[in-house]
Amino acid sequence: MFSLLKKLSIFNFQLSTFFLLFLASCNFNNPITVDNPPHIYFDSESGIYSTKIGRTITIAPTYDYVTDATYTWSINDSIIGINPSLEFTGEELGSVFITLKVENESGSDEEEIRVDVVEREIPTVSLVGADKGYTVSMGEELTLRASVRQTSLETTYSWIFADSIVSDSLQYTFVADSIGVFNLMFRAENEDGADSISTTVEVVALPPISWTFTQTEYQLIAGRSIEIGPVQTENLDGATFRFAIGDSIVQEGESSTWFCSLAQEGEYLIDITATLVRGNQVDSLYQQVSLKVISTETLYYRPKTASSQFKFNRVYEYTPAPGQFINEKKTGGFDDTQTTPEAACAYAENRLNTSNWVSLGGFGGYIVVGFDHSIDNTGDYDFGVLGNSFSGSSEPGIVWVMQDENGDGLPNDNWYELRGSETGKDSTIQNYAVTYYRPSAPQMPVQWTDNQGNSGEIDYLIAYHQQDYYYPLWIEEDTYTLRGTCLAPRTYDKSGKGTYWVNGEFDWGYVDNFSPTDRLTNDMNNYFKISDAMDAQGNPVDLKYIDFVKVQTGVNVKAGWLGENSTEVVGFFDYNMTK
Amino acid sequence: MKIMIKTLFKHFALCIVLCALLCGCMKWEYGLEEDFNASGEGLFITNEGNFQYGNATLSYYNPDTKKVENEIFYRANGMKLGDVAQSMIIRDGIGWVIVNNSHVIFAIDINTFKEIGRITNLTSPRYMHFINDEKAYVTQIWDNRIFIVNPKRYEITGYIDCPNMTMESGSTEQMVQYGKYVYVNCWSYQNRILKIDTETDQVIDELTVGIQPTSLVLDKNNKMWTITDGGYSGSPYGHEAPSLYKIDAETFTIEQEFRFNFGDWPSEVQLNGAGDMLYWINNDIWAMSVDDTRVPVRPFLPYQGTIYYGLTVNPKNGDVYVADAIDYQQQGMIYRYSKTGELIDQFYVGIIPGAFCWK
Repeated sequence: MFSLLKKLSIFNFQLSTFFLLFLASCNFNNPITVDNPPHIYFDSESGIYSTKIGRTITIAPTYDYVTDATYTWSINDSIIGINPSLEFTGEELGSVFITLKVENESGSDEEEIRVDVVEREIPTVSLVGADKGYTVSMGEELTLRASVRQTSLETTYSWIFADSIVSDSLQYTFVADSIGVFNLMFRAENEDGADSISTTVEVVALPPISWTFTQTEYQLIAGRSIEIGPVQTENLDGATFRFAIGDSIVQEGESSTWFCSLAQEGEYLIDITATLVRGNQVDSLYQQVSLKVISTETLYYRPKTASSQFKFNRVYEYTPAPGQFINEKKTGGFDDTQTTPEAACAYAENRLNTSNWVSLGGFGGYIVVGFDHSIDNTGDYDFGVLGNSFSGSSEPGIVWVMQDENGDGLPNDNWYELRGSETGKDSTIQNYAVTYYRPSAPQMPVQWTDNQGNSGEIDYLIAYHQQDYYYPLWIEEDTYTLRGTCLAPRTYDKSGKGTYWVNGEFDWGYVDNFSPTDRLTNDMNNYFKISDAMDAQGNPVDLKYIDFVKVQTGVNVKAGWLGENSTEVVGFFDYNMTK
Repeated sequence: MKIMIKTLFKHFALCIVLCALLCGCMKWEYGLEEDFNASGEGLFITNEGNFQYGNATLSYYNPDTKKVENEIFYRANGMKLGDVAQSMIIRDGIGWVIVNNSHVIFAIDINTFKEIGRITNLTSPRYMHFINDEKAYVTQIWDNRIFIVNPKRYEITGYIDCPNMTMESGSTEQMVQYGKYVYVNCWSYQNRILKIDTETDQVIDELTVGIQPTSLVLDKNNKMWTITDGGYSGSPYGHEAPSLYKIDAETFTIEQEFRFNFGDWPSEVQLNGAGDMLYWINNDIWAMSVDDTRVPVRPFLPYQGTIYYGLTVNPKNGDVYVADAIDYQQQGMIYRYSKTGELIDQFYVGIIPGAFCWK
């Protein structure tokens, strides 16, 4: 009876208990012992527990009124424990529902809990160029910056050189004072595990020279000019570049490219040589390219017919830069089948045909479309591109146009950039190039380097776009380089607190730009003039018509938590047909 | 990148609304008018449409016939609804459709869907709450004032200044009334519930909750429920584990906090007609009794890999309606479930269905 009274006092003499007490006190011949039923209190407020796969957690509820109680822990009616606490090991990823029943003579209590078995958060590291190693000259600084997939756990970093930790940050600057090959390791570690990446640094007396050509076959309409030569050179400062056709030297000097304006129809072979003298050492490179000069631009003009449609009729290429909408299913419309360039084109074509946007990703990402007829150059606005700009949100895309000069129906001829309001400004970088690197693991940012010595990342925005990779799935190479014209960004944080980002508009000449000038219909269309076409030197090019249009993201910038700027396109159309 | 802003408009109405204010007025294009006579019970669905596309629409669903009529505002009035239809409320046979980025509230006949009036010159209206026939409150985002309007005259008659907000950080959302007090949750870059005296139209008290309370309801026990989204990764306002709060309306104090996992992003707390069952979205659809002491561990409706964007419960029979924005681009889908979770019907509505209003 004492224990009963004690419990009664705890519960402030609840009426129901009084009633039971009354009954008990009256039954003198058969005394009844009365107790409250068991009660379970979990040590998780929500009843939801989380554990890493392969690890064991202890679930230890507290109880009331459990005299002589039995405990039954079960999953789908299969008993997994009979003790007051449960040790549970997560063997498979996912959620496990566990029922706990506690019962004794006074009654029972039953609760369901959930255990979420999640992946271990082992850090994954990535280091641009680590697979091939690095080559530097003696005394030259080599700054390396590793990328680590972020976890919720505290993670430590270490750069290890000659068995010693030389840095505990993501970045390390290597300087060697002797020639040789040196091993270097970066390591990231947290309580769930560690990952590391090793590489070599070759220190040489003189750095090796190299150059990159993106094409070795050129063609030209007589009367125009094109730029011939490597798109990139390495350690060729001070070299002499010679361009020769047969025995005739057409250009020799420090310029690595030749603006060719041959007017005579025919086919030419051009020998290009680079020679670099460093002390007693002479190094040279050689590349032969071909050039076909075509006499007239009107050979393959395709006039409009009664069945011609005003909108584009085909996507020929879709090569975006990495970005938050690339491979994205929810809003981006991808479905994991875009694993080839052809499938990517089909995706983009379908999106545009259904008036959905196609994202070009970060700087340099592009799309190429064609029409079922040639678009005439009227000297006025000739075609339009629909984007999704609005005030304070412009993500400019550079426009390029092409004639089907060789008549094969494919965009394999010469691109001419359309002049815009930023053309010719000191802040505009022509021949800008960004190389993107495939992340080494899912849910990592995409690292990039540019040809100006900069590096950075396309951020992984886990809160908004959770696809594994922002790097296009259909690009087989682990790195790819996109080249084009880069505008000085007009992105800024208006709030000063990182909350309110503005992507300011440019005056005219760009897609997805809230232009005060070329949004003729006061909507999200920008309109363009073929007469704004220019060659690589910025000279006007008189194109009577065009057959293909390319749009390319023209800024390399990110807007805080919003992520990278990326041009979006929604449609292309021949404006002349709508006039 | 801007698509993200658009798609997250409901959750992160940051710069875009302010941008919208700079963009001038919406143009309404006029067309043919269609006659409707939708007497009886029904459900209105406001479809936000894409930000700045001016493609917000209004849908109407008859639960008895399972027939849906889309674009009813345009069809009945021969003009577009505008840009970002945010919410709707009905009083005395008049539906009030709040069109956020067109800065307007349309009053429509709830049977014919014909416009009978409009309130204009609002900053960025979100929700409307009636105090009486001649006074209603209209909450705003990117404005530190709640607008007072006279619905009979379709006029703005005054403002309630909200403390500790600037125009840029201003955000007032959903309202519930207990006695003469109206409570409003402050969501975007806010963490408060405000208490307003409807006799003086003054904010007289506030209660701090977690980061960004998204919605607010009042249950049968006169307990208010709000659910925070916890902010987001990288937010300068902070990012924390979100919570569901039970708040006593009488004492204006928090009675219980149910904490979710860090990284969860719950929203849309709703009640059934009896006010005894609570529903919300947290990837899955969840349900619990208002008397429960902890949230369930199993969802009412499991996540289906899509974008649950709106939620309502039929006050008459407890059917649960879930709005699926799919990809924010195509027509959204409404799923109708029984109160035991069985799928009863599904139908397409407009782009980004976000809010419901029972007739």
